[in-house]
Amino acid sequence: MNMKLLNFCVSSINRKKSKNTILFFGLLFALSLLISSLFTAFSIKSMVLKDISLLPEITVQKVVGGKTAPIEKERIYEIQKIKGIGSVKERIWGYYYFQHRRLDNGGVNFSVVGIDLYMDEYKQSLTDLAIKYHDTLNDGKMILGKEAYETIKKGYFDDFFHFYTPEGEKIKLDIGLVADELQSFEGSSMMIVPQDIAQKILGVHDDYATDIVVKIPNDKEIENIKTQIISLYPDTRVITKDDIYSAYNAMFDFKGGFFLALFMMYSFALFLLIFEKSSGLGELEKREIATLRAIGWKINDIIKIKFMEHFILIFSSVVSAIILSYVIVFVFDAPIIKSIFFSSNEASPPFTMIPNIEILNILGIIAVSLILYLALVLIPIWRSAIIDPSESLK
Amino acid sequence: MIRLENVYKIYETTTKEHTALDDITLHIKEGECVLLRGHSGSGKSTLLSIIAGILKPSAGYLEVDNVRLSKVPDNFSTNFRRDHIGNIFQKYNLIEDLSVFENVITPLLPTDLSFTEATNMTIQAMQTANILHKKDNLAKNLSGGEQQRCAIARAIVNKPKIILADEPSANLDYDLTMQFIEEMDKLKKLNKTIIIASHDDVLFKSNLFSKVVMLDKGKISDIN
Repeated sequence: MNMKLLNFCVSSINRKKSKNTILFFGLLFALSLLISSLFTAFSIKSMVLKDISLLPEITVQKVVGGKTAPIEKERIYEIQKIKGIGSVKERIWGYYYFQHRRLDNGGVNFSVVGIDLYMDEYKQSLTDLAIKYHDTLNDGKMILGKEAYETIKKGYFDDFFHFYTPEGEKIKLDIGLVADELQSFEGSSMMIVPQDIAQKILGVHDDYATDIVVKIPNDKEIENIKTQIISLYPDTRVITKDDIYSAYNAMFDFKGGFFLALFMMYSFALFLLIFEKSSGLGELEKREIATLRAIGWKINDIIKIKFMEHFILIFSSVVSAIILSYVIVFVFDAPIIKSIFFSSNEASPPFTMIPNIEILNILGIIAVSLILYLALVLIPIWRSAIIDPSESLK
Repeated sequence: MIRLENVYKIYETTTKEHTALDDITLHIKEGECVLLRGHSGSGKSTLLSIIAGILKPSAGYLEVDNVRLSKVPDNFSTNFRRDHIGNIFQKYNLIEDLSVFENVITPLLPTDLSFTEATNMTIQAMQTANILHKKDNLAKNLSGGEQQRCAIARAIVNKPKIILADEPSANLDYDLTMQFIEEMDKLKKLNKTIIIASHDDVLFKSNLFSKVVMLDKGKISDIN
């Protein structure tokens, strides 16, 4: 590395301070918008996937008039007879709408689950959670996700919470603990309550369940068993974990389109700049290049110094944009950007972004930014450097 | 030192050809101070550019300091220019936002010299050109005379054997032109070979030159 050239390069950045400052902040803004959107997407996607990983292989729901309805528990015995099934259990869960004037949207939906009935049907993490807090549930208390707790606190509920059944009965339930383990998108808004209370809150009668969950040891049997359940009960909707995964993926592909559009706009803007700038540099810059050529600088020397100069600028912009995006998304919880994913009238409790970064995508953005931007500045410089310097000097 | 034999420079466009230099034969000895004289468009600047290795002749033989420049690749002629030739341009072409020191050191930056060596050479050149006291001033804040001395310092910083100047007095008043002649005279005493292209009568009437070459429409019309 020629230190003399590096010094010249730093001095060159310094003497074009105003221009470089505008460029730096322009790039910082565009890149931060793009990267913070990506960070938000990665984070939400990872939380959703974490929720899906907790689900049983098959969920059986009853459909009446196109809507889900409570399902008879006796169906469990018929389903259990199908070969290849590990276990079948009923599940009590649903959404509980809590409204309060102090909430941003006026009200939110919590996920209420009766854990003691179905805990075996969940994957290891929730089972562990149930075992860990077994005493809490046994005492008739509830376990809350962090965001669920923060939300009810706004309604002045610190130690307990009042549920209202569909019949209008008020049920007071003490808060056993707030579980940090419930960090996923759905988990953070979860209220885990004893099964009999969940049934009352959700208005599910004793002989009924919200749905039936089926554990299948061999993944290859899932589709076959799904078909058999539908044949057995044509009024049911059988959802596999893959179905849910596909549904979420479709949603994120749609949202992903937004980023693609942003990214394309960003790339296109840079491309237009390249196109515009490749037609030539300003007179002053041309003269400077011609002077350097005339006093003995090779084309390589000029390209090298301009490359260093602009590399420092773009690289510092990209790194700053990554740091700024990280702070916006994971420290300030992605204001504005989050609302692009969840419209303001969605009745889900607020949730906190959990850092999850897909390095390959970030590297992709850095690479595209570097290549496009450096092409943007180096093509016209190269074009100026290869022409006869005496022409530019006249 | 410099030998041109039957040199031609023809500029071609899609529709026409323009002969800028037409059969130029010229010999310049080491330490000579030569004035290239002629009207605008007579080929003075083209001839200087060819001697500097910035332009290649379309035909003919060019030898500078025992190197056949007419046949060498661009990178070689650039290196040659960097090591052997000092250029003074019509408008000096200083980089306005750089200091005098930074402007003068510029030709040495792509070389293998250490920073200390390059700095010492730069200081020496500024001393010779009498501009050392302004080393930290930005080029854009210099007076016309100071810019001229800065341009001279940059032209001699690489200790060249040959100094080329293209219309150096075009934008100067009489006093500054005389000052420039004095500076060149100092360099002449250091045995530098100096070639100046100009149609300025003040330069022509000075005692600086040992040879005056008259150019007309790309041809040498007279040598005194």
